Amino acid sequence: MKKSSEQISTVQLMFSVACFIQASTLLTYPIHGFAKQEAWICVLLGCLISLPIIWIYTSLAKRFPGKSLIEINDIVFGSIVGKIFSVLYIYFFLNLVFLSSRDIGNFVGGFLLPTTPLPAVLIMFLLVCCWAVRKGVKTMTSYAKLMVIIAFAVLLFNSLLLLNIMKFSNLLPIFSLPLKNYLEGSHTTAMLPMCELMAFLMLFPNLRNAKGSAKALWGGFAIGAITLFFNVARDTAVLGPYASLLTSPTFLVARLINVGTIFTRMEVLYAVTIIILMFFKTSVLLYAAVFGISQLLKLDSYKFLVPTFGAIAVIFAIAVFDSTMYESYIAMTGTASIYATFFELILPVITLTVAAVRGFSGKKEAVLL
Amino acid sequence: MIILIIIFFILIALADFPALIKYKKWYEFTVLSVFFLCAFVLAILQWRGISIPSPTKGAVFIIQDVLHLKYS
Repeated sequence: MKKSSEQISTVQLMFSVACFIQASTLLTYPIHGFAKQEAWICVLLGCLISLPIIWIYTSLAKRFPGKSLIEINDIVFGSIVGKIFSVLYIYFFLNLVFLSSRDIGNFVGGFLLPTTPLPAVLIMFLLVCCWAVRKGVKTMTSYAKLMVIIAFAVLLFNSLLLLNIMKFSNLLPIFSLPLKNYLEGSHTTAMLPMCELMAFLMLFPNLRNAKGSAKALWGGFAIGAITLFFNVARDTAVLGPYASLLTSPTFLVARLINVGTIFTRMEVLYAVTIIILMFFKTSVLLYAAVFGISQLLKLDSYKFLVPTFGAIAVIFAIAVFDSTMYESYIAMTGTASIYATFFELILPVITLTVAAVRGFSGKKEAVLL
Repeated sequence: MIILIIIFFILIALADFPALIKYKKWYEFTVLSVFFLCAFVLAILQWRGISIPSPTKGAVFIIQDVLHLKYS
């Protein structure tokens, strides 16, 4: 496949990464479920666990500047084993597209448009995602900065309006739970929102300055992690252990805002923000999957595949779970985190180890660029 | 409903197939046709109420029943 002519800046990529993590504030319920009022500790621990994993991604990017995950697999493992790894990654990205779409479908159907059928919500949502992906990476990521600022502003605004009902004593006591709760909560934090950043390895070939990939990933990770931490801590401060009983604590917290009878029904602000952020996240994942398929099959372009895979995403987003209860069961039994660990940790570790053994240092590859 | 599905897929087909035929990109045409046909068949199955295998259920089976990995 020809090298993409669409180039994005390091700053653009950094804000895209931040946006991607911020979208995960929709799904903080497993963290609250595992750690109750100490969910904020699990977010901190989860971020710490994510650091070495993100280092693996940045190391891969440094060793193979300007290469996508699919190209890296081919270089490191050769064409046959490399293709097997690539198929696994593409399957994972596609699965994340189905799951993200279903999450937004559940959110909209559960809280905003309860009588609207799920397929109608999914079609509208994925139509916009497909449109963005077809327009290309440059267009897709150009609004990331604005989205991050909006998400941050809404978080700050809502938090200020909630100050009157926040009880910081709800964040205490600390370290009162069994060790396994912290391990489960932090593992979930690391694997479900944080390390899904691996999808950005498919965007690195579009980076104008290939050396800026690590900087963008770390910067975006820091912004996203700070947002997630404040979000979880604020929800716990408002709701206390009650947060662990809800499927969307942040939405309920926004619903509680009532200042001077003027600032009420602020949940709509959160709803709009999360839909925008989830649109961005799903677009990045869809791009990663479709671009991966086009590289795997050595196609001229990825763009003509996008609408068809959008349709496939609608179908599987409906089929992926029987109910929201089943989704909660998968999250709370750790199946989702364990499943993600295989793709986000084990496969990249194998790739990095083989690359190191075979002597790919990145210097030679950088010269060839 | 079936008419809506057919219209939807005709629109998708019109978006890309004509350009691929015009520029004689037969390999890309074949690949797209395969995926397009899969998507269409899956949509029809979904409409008929025939359950489509969920990728999640496969993963749950492998992780919980085969590997016995689960949070306690």
